[in-house]
Amino acid sequence: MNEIEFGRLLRSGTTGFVVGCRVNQLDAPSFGSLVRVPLEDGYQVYGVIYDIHIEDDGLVRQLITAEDLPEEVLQDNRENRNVPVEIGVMAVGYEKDSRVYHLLPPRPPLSLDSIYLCSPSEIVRFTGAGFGYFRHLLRDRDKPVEELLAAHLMAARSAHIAAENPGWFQAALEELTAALRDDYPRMMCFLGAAGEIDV
Amino acid sequence: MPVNLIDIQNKLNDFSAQARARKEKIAVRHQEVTNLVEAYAHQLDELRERVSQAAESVPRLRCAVPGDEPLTVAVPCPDLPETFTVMAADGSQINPSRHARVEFCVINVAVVKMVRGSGLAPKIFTHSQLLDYDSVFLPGGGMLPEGMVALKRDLREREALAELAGELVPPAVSMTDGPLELYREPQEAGDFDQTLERYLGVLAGLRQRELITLGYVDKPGGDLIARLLELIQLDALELASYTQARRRYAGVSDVSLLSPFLQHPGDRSAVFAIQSEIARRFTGDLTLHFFYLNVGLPGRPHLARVEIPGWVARDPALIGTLQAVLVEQAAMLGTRPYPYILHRAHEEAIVTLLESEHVEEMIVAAFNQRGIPVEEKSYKQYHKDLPKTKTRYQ
Repeated sequence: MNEIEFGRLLRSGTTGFVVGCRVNQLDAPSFGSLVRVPLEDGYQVYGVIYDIHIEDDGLVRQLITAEDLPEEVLQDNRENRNVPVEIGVMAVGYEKDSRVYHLLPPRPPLSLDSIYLCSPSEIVRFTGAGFGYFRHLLRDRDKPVEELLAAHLMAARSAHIAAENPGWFQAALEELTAALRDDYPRMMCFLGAAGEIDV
Repeated sequence: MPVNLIDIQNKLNDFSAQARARKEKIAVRHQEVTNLVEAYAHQLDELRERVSQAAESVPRLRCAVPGDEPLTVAVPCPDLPETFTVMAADGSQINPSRHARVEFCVINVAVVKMVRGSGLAPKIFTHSQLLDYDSVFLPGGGMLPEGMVALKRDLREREALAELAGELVPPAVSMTDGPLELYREPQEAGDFDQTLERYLGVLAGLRQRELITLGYVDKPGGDLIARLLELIQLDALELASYTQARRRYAGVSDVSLLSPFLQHPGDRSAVFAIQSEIARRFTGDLTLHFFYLNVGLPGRPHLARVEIPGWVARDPALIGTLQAVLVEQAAMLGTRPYPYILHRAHEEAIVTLLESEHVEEMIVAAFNQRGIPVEEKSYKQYHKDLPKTKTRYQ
């Protein structure tokens, strides 16, 4: 299996964690991606990326006042300088002794643990174990949950289609529609976002 | 108790009045010197002759010496070469302190090397030197003073450039922040002569490798040109008793004199040599020269002083190259022009307080492992290091 490591853990808690990575690692993770943090034997934490945040600093603020910047300066800032890229991950479950749980992890990962992007088969394995993890995504109203769900469904749908499980996407939509039925504005917002997914 | 702002406020009237009076006095002097700049703009032989006479009677004479260009000349910025190398070195240090648990000194130097036209990220080299334990202590007792550490750091910066001077895409320009001329307070310069000799050796090595080298001085406060024109006002008797402690045109800076002539971004002034006690040690190809360069924006001139060795000063093509390189580098930082590569070298070289503490902990651990006694930090330092946030309500 080709494992894609894209960063290391900066800080964490039970409900989520923040990953730091270099700018040149940024092509791997994307909004809504399922990620995992392998810990001790047989235990790993799963999460969904809900935010990718690029901080500025004094030099970057000054550089944008220049008329045009040579390629060497752009590369310097992306490759050499400690441009802080922070990726927010919402914890959605864990795996213990080969069993997937859609519960919050018993222990959060530790500083500097490596973070991996889940492969299509890992996505199928985690999301195929039921829709219990949706409640973690739906809980936090401070985040763009509806957009996050749509992005996640789009990625997961591709993985399930490749695994010859085309019915997963429709079942997921029905589950989310049911979960949001008492919150009309959020439901409409979600349906609007989900409508962007090419079916 | 923080600063008593009411005390400060009460002083501000007097303080502002003093500032106004001083600026008005300097404005009068400035006009006199400006008239002299224009009057003597082309009388370069006469100016050089006067410096030569003064140098014989004034032991520590410090002033500009004109070259072949008129004092009021503004040389526009030439085009950049298509490809070139630009390097910068900067350093920082952890000074030895008797308040620390162990006495140690670290000099940290970073070099950033950019090949313009390559499209590649610059390469960064850092070198951290823990000075020998014995060298932290002076033969006569006491510890290495800050000025001496700074001198060693200046030397290391040039040495680091020399170490990376091979296989560069020509033309290659290297720079450090501050003057090329070494200057330290006499009381701080224990083995200054020895360090200066090594420094000159490194500069000679850079010249052999044809690595253009310069010292970049931002917001320069120098008044070498006013000092030069002051000499021309003195008759023989006054010259004999001339002392730089009582100067006629004190406070008139070179920047204020040359700004009206260097209005266009990229303009440089005439190239001058430096007459000073230390500059006399820079001979032949290394003779110290300088010029002023407008690295500012249209309508917002910003003059920097650029110090260069004689072998660069003699070659207009080399001066043009470094002029264009500096103007481009400074423009990269937009509204606050300063060479990008120098700033990056500074960023890479700087030693943070946290890093300094880590180094101290490493040394303490090494001493403990070897059974070498380690003292406590001074109680003064201990209390200074206490967290500054309040820990109780009252």
